[in-house]
This record gives sequence, structure tokens and C-alpha cells, in this order.
Amino acid sequence: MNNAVRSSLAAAILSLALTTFSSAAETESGAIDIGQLLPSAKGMFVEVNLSSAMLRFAARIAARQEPETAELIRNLKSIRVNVVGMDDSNRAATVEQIESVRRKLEAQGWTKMVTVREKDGGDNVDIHVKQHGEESIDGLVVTVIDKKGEAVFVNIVGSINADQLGKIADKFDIEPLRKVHLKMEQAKKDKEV
Amino acid sequence: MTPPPVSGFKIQVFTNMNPTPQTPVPRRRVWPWALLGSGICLTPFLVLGLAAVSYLTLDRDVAVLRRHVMDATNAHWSTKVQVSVGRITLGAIGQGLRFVHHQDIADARLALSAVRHASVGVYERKAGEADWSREQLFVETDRAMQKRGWTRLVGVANHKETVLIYVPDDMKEDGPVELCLAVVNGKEMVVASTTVDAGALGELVARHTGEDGKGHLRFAKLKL
Repeated sequence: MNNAVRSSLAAAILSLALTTFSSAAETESGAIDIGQLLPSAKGMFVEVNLSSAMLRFAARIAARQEPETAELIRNLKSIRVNVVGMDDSNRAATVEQIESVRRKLEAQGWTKMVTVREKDGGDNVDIHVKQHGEESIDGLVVTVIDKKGEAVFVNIVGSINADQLGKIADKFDIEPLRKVHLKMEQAKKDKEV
Repeated sequence: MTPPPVSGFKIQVFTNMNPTPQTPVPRRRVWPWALLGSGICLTPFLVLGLAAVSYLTLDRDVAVLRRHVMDATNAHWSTKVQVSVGRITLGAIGQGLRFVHHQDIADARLALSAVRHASVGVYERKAGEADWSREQLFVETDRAMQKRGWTRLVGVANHKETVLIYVPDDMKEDGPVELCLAVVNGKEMVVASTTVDAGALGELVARHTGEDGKGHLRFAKLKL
């Protein structure tokens, strides 16, 4: 009996600790935790984790030549980018990880702004945004499973308004972001009408 | 009463017939002076030795990174170059560059002024497999660096090389940035730690991006 009580207590403490740990990783409203992605045996692997301090450092460097970009960067809280080359050793796990992130985003009320599904195993792209009112977003998640055998995950956390998004899309020629910007603009116009 | 002195003579009258005990003359101790002298002679060599050691050994954090990368690769590496330089040395090099005439010398001096400290090691693989587990490399070095208060900023691995860049957890937004990095390919490994000043680095970037701010700063045409 005592053992059963002890085990239940331990399980309760463990689950509480895990819940606390998992919510701590997502304290920012635009952040999503996808866990650790690991490189395959031979394929490409890129992981970039930019913290708020690092982004401010980048903003200071960009400020002189790119004041608008610097302002945008300064408002960001974090950027995470993962590119994982897939082979037989990690394909199933990585695709499942990306799919579970998409399910999680939709369950948490993120808005799916862009969906691309190409035929015959072509590109598979989703862009979700965490909206903050009509004109700005708190976070953006891009998930890609491309035909070259790479999975891409991008999470940008921080306040970004529609105009800034449009400028960034034009400046760096990011077509999916341009689509997000257009959809946000369209939603704003619909609301006004 | 003592009698008056007779001119030309000094008369001393002893009233006590017992001899006074004589205090022994202290022997001069030589060894403290010898120690001091040899200390003075050896100090310059000691300072030079310490300076040489500090120049030729890596900083602690980058040494930890090197050790864990070496362990994870499971290979034997031999040292090709290992050097650490601080602000004074970098400043002296900067002053020396004043006398060098080259078209890119201004950039070199600016780049040098952006770096406040650098510790670099280059190693060559002598034995062991060239095909190690990159997963193990990432996990082990991350764990070791996290214990020392460093977080991985960038991790890149492809079939040719692996790059790991770490920044401190308590990085200050306004101050200079500390970086610790490792680049490993099949034959060579480079580890480095540096402290970089944002202002000078920004100036260097500005010089190379032109007036319109495009060109080099236009990172990539991101097509997803």
C-alpha cells in the first residue's frame, strides 16, 4: 500500500515537473518547442538559435545600414532555424516531428496562413502565425518537408506588424512571407468593410 | 666624586671589578639575501615563462570544447598551432600595422580593433576513424558547454564538416560578444574563442555593404 502511494506521489511530482519544464520552454506566446532535432548519419544539418541578446547585437550591427531591418530585429525575442537532411535513418521520425508540430500549432489556436502541397512528393509547406490583434503577430512558424529530402523548421518569436513583414518579404525576396503579408492585409480590409 | 681629567690623558675609573657579560655579535644571515637576489634574477624569466604559457595555451572554455570534440570524434589529434592573444598584444599588432602599406590595411586594422581577445587552436588528425557520430558530437559538446554556461548558437553538419558556435547564457546586450567555436572536418579541427566588439564590427559590415545597404547584406533569396 505504502509503495503504491509512494509511486503515485513520485509519478505526480514527475509529471508536474515535466509540465513545468515544457511550459517554461514556451513562455513566450509566439514560441513553440519542437524538442531536439538530431542530424542524420550523412545528411545536412543546420541549427541556429538566436536569443534576444544576440538579436539586439545583430540589430546594433545592422542599424547603420539597415535601420528598418534593425528596428524589426530589435523587436524580436528569438529565432530558431532547423534544417535537417533526411535519409532512411531519420526520415520517418523527422516527418512525424514536423507533423506533430503542425497539429500542436492548430490545437493551440495558431492561424495557418499558407499551405503548399505539391504533387508526387513535391514541396510540402505550412506557415502558421500567432496573431495579436489585426495588425501584428507574436510569432511565426514555417514548416517545410521538401522534395530534396530536407525538413525545415523556422520559429520567429516577437512582435511583427504587417507592414514590417511586407518589407522583409520584399527586401529578402521571401515569397511565403509575402503571401502572409497579403493575407493579413486582406483580413484587415475585410474587417474594415 | 670623579677626579678632574688631566689634560692629554683620559682616566677611566672602574668601580666594578666583575667583567660585564658581552652580548654575542649577531651572525649575518646570508640566505634571505641570496633568495632575494635569485628571485630578482629569476623573476623576468618566470614572467616570460608565464607569458609564453599564456600565449601558447587555450582559454579554459575553448579547451573544454576542444577536449569534448576530440573525445566525441574518437580520434588522435596532434597540435599544429595553439595561441592566445589579449588586448595588449592585439593593440601592439594594430600599432605595428600602421607601418604596413596595403590596400586592405584599413579593413585589417578595423577588424583587429573589433577583436578584444582571441584564443585559437589548430589540430591535425593523426589516427582514428574519420567517420564519427555527429549526433554524439552535438550531444556531448552541448552538455559540456551548457555546464559551463554556454548555449549553442549555431550548429551545422554536412558530409564534409561540422561547425559549432556557442555564446554565453548571460550575454550582455550592450557589451562585446563572446564566442566559442569549433570546426571539424575529416583531417583538421579548429577551435577558437573570441570577444568581439559590436561597434567596430558594425563599421566593418557597413564598409562592405555600400551606400544602399544591399549587396552583401542581402543574405539569400529565400525560396521555400
